[in-house]
Amino acid sequence: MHEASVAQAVLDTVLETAARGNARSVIRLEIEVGEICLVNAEQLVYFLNLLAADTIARDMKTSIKEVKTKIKCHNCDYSGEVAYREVDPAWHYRVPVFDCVRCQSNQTEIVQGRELVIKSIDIDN
Amino acid sequence: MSKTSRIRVEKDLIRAARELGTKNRDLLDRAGVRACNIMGAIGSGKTSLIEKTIERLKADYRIAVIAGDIIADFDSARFRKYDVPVVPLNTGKECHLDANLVRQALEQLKLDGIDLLFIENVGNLICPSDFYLGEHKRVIVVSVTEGDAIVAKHPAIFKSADVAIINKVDVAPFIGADPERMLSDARRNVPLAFQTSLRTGLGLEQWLNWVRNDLATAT
Repeated sequence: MHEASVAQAVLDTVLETAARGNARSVIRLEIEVGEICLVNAEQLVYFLNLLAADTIARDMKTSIKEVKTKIKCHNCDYSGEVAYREVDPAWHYRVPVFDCVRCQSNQTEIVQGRELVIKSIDIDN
Repeated sequence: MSKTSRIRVEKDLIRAARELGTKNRDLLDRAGVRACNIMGAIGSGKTSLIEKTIERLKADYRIAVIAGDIIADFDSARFRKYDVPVVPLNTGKECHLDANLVRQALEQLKLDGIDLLFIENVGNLICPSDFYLGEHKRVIVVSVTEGDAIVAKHPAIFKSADVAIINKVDVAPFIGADPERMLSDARRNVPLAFQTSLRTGLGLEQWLNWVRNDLATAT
């Protein structure tokens, strides 16, 4: 399972940044996770809280925003969001379709949606 | 008196990991090594693919393998019998190879003496998707024994690949799997996809020609 190692990498950055800001505590963390970055947000928060328990980030609230998938089409120059196949309406689980929504070509490139960005931290000092 | 302030970080961990991969790529390029990341489902035929390739091409190219697996020795032993350099990478609990592990393996190889490097990834269609190891090409091997929905279930990793191989097509009738569906699903997201039976040799020539062509156009 690698949500734990991702959480550790996030926490390392949070604590380094907080130390540079002479923080007494970290109260909030904002992260953006791309829709097709295959890291589960809930599990990530779970491990972050677990790992932060003995640190100045122990009471940190983590907010995760999902970044939508965007493609660029090399056939027709379309640039924008994708269509989805709804595979389980009960769970609202949708799978992105990478074909161009305008011309249906599969000559597309993913330009957004694979990232995992630590956006900011709020600290008390 | 305490004060709350916001520090902007803007650090993309995926991009940071990618930079390590790029450093590996630079190392490979300087040494003239062409690297393929062989990903795929558990038991799909990744090791067999590399074995057959070594068997058929070792007379023409100097081939080496980085064998990533839970217990790497099982696969390493299969490659060693061809007398090619093999670096086992025990991944243990990890679900994917990363650029850091691969770098350690690269440092154990005499890269100047290698033309073609196969990096066999851990059997997994989720985790390796986000991790760039420094490879020139990404290949995914799946087989009919995973069920014919396996390609459709994993668009993100297939979209990241250059070649998709649908293996074990000779046993499809016994399983009730439809390899044509798998091929058509793969072709939506991968520039090149074809069917093989690594056991009988079906499709092997097509794969070998792709490898030869990739090496020829790279140099």
